[in-house]
Amino acid sequence: MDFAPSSRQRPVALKVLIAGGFGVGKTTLVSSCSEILPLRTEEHITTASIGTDDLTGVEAKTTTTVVMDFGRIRINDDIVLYLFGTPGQERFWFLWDELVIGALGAVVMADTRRLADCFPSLDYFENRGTPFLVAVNCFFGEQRHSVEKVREALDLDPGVPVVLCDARDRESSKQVLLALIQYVRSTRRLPVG
Amino acid sequence: MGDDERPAVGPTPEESPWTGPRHRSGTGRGRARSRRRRPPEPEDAVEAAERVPDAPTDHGQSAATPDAATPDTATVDAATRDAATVAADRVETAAATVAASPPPSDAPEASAEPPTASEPPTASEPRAASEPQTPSAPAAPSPPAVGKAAVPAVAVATVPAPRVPVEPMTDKGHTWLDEEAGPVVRPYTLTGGRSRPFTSGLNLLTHVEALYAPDADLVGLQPEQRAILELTRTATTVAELAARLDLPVGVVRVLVGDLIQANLVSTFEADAAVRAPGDDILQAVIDGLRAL
Repeated sequence: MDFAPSSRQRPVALKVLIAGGFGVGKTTLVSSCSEILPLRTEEHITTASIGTDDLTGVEAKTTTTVVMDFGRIRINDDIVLYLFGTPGQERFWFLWDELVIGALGAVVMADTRRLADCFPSLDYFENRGTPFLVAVNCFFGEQRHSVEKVREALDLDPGVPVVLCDARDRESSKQVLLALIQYVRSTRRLPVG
Repeated sequence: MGDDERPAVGPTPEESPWTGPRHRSGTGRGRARSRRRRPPEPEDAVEAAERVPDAPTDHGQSAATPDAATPDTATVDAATRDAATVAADRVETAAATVAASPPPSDAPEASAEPPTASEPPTASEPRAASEPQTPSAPAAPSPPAVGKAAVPAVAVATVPAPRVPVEPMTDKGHTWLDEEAGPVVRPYTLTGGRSRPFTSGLNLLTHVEALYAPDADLVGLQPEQRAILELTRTATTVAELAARLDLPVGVVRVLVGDLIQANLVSTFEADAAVRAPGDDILQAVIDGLRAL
């Protein structure tokens, strides 16, 4: 009793990564603007990751369970935006290599109290050529530094947007995503290969 | 004698009764998957029956001992494969041989070993904590020697019957994860230990679409695979399947790979994964986000 697969146009799945240091508000951002589900992966720790991972004391461990935040925003019948909250710990970054393929762009979240936490994420996306913006999560409405100072501290390329947000607020989180999509579109329009 | 024992203990060293239900589900890769979720008793009974002929009979043990004798040989093999074979020629009984492998047990005397070793497979561990009868059952057979192994078997026969339904052990709401299933089913148990799917190229956003309804007369499907067929009536991504089924992505990949192999689902890549989304799509996303 088979039934005909849907004949309508293929859906478009867009992938947006939410990165940043531990406790910076990635989960909060994903959950405030989409339905959220925990996504479990049980991954082999590859030899490629061992050079960069601190596996001291767990050398015998070859697989690890990583839980990512997974959000889904249905734009319309054909377009779905998937949000992946990337694992914050650097040792899980080998997971990113799959995530980043085909990703539309990334949001790097920053907390100005611990700005350095997001440096590795910035390096990663810069090296991969993935378009990203920096979203400064203003905890409790607190904004300690201006956007310009943050940009300076992060040594960003001129075009990379820096936005302020309150990850708990749905509207604010939406604006972050909007800014990212608009930024991605603007990079496409540049006459770059 | 020692030669007789070696084939008998062949299966796997991990079959030691001390591994209990939690670990045993992780062993025995590639075996029938449906067995994994059952309580340990039936499996042990089957395996015991298979292994009995060699060991106990030529020791002249009573018919009640197979349950006890089988774990013994397994333990011997696991701990002292080489030493035991040398020693076995001199030692009279399998029970005495166990003395060579005290590490797994804290009971020092050889006579106490066989019954203790027979506890876990017969009296299932999940019950042991709360069941009043069970503590007495292991206690009774411990001091006497091999022949009393029938006691735990009796306890098993009586214990499960009066057992009232028990709350699931977890708060995750898995109806199948009850006490009978043991405390944990390791994720890759569902895949028979396989961690790689038949097909490659299933990434997180690969869409899976069912070709058959899950209520079709399909035999041999696991509940999880039926659930996948149900969820993929409309094309669904691998990531979403994993999240909705609360299974690791790797497990879902294997299960989907099986379904592809069986020609029950088709997969395709979303357009955006193949080429960068066009301006029209980005504009649609922007409009859609604004409208949220």
